[in-house]
Amino acid sequence: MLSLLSLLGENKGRLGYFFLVLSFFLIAQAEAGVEKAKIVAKGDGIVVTEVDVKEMKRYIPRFIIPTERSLEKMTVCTVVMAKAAQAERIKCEQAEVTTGFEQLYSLSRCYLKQKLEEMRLKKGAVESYYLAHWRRFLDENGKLRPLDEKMRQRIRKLIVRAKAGRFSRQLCKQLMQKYRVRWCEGGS
Amino acid sequence: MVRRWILTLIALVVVGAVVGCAATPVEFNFRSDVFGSKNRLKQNFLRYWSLRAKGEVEAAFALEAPYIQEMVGLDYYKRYLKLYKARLQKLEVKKVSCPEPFYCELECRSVWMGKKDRQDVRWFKDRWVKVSGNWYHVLKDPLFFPQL
Repeated sequence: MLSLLSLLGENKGRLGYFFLVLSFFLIAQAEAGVEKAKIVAKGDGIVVTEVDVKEMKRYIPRFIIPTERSLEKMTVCTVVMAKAAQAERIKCEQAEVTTGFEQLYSLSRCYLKQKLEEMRLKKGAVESYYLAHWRRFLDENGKLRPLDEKMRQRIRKLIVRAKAGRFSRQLCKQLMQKYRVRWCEGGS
Repeated sequence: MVRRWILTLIALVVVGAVVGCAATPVEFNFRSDVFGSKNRLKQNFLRYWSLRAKGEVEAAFALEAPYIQEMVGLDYYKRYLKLYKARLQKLEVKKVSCPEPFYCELECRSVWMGKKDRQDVRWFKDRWVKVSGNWYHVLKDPLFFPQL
């Protein structure tokens, strides 16, 4: 041990130089690692890498095992929706307390939620649901409950929930066109 | 010359098949008073099932209740109707009951022609709802559309 310390003492200058070279080497390696993250898709102000795709996995329920392709699509949709949320300055409290991909995810959820709330339904959609399911809306005396605002909102929610998946796919498609997103080599 | 004959023959076969399919309308059968005074319901019922039989999916979709159009969507509706491999041949309305002035249930007996001319008889309840003066079909299939 003593001999090692004395060796260090003798070669102090050389050791410092060695550590300097080593740190440059490590930084270069780390940067190369970042650059190596494969780009899955690119668009106007949008870059989706396989690191994002990996992050996306955290938000998928465990019982769902998506294919690599669908996972990439979900990631791109999340990113474009987050970008649109920023562009439209959509208020999102969750996004204010998060960073990185988590923030993008929060923004995309806020965006989708707002768009679903704003979604206009076909004329007569709520009324037709109410009238076709009139048996569900009978009171204790067998009288049909009125279609008031509360009931309208309840039915609207049911319709919107059933339409949400299709709506979000359409929205994603539109945003991908808007931001000219293209799949990169190896991507979908 | 031979090639021209072959092409003409193929064209005739295709045209024949298309015309043949289109020229087989559904045979409707019901008592003249079964619909009572509900003439518009009768009209839409006949129109809807004729369209379904002809495979005019988009026009049939427009006769589905507005909430169904929203919840199902045309693409999924098209895919659903493609599952019907048999052709509707005959449709009988046995009874029309309207528990509410805006809602009617029709008891139907249908005859479908399947592969190898195999006939299949099915009984079903056809539901209709009146919204803003128009009668719309109420699609019900808990297996494919549990949300409806």
